[in-house]
Amino acid sequence: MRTVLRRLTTTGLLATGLLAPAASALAVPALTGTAIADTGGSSAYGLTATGPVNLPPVPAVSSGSGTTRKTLLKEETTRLVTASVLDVRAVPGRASSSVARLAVPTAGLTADAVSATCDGGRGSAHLANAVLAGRRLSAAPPPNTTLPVDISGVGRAALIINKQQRTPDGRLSVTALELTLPIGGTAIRVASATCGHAPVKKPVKKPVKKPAAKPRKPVKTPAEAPVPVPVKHDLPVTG
Amino acid sequence: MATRNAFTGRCPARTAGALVPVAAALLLGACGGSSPGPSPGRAGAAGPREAAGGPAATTFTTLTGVPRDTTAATTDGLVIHPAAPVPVLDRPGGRPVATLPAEQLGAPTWVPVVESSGDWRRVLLPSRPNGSSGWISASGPGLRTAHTPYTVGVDVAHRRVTLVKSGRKVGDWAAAVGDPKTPTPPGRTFVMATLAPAKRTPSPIVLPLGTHSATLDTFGGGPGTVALHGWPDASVFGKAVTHGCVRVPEAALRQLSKVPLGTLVLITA
Repeated sequence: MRTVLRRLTTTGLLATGLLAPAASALAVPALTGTAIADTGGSSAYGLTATGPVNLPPVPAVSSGSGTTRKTLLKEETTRLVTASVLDVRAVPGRASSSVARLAVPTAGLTADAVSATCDGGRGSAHLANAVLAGRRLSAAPPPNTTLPVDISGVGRAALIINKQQRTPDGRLSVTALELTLPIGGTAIRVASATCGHAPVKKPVKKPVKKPAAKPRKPVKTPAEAPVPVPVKHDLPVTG
Repeated sequence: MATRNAFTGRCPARTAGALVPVAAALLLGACGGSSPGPSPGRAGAAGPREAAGGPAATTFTTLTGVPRDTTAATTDGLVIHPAAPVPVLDRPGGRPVATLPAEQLGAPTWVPVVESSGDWRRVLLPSRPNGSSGWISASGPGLRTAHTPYTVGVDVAHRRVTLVKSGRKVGDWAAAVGDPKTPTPPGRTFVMATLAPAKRTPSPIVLPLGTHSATLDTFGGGPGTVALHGWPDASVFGKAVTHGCVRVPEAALRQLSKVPLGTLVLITA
């Protein structure tokens, strides 16, 4: 509990210290775009805001090997977005993030739970009782579902649900919710998980008498694509 | 001017899109009106329909309702070949918007996977509009997946073509790109086929890409497909003089023709 409180205090200081509009958009690329070649390196965070209100990703974990996990009981550094029980974990090839009781009052966005999972290069996102400006959102939306939302007095905002992007190093980044507000380029990202393909482990020899463990699904590595054989064909092209 | 001559082979049996007035004169000269089939009045969207769903996703068709690919990032190199035509959906489990045939221009269809969601793969399509993509199911039978270690880069501003293998640059050549009136269209596309035209000049190998000229609806009787190909006059390399195609030196063509079909081509303005 003490560590959680300490983290909250640190986050608060950071957030207040970075309120100047210039200091934005630093944290997320650092997490989703780091150039760990696809060796299964994973990362996850619960919540972040960029723009005039800058909230670095909290809590945030990354893993090159082994399991890492962080939980934050409450996040209310800024009134723009609040949440409780933010739980993130990362192991090679797998990452997950879940956020409960999310509220973005300006956009009329609330959700009982928001989660994103990335497993072996595949991603999914789930929403529980999510409502945007009085409109109920699908529980398991397809990737990159975009919803525009008009906020009276503020303008048109956009919400991307289950945002899935491939990072330059071939890993997959899944963000359950990304809300862009027309206020100085404010963007709020909730529940994000990034993962690559788990490294293939050498099978461990088990003692003969031990009962057989559940068979592991082998990690499929696609074959090299064939060298093309030119075909006799004419297509007028643009010279 | 020699460098502006249309590069044509036989005119294709079918074409798509209406003629742009500027291009019309070039086309008539190039095709000589001897084309057996092109009907300029034909609607671009009316491609051949296949049993699996919507119009066939080929270089000749224009698709509607397909998701557009807007990013320019590289991928993990996954490419897919359907053994039989497969339906292309607008989103995972969504409605069919096209059919991906098993062949493109007589060669096996290989398309790059640019996004995955569960058992669904979003692939780039070779049709108009540029950036056409769609979702196909990976759980169905007859889908072959493979990995290409290559990425081709076309830097239009610097008029260079690069070839990257497994993250390492293995080729970098000066190339001729589209002139300002008929620019090489930027975006993420792929090597659609490796063709050996009947006439070996100006290029013994032509690599049509999955993208089209944005300013020429048709060209030389074809649908305005942009391609990588050779050019006998080396003075064009490093210049913006083409109708959209990318002309590369012989050494580049030799290496590029060995790149697997479906390999990403990232064209930057």
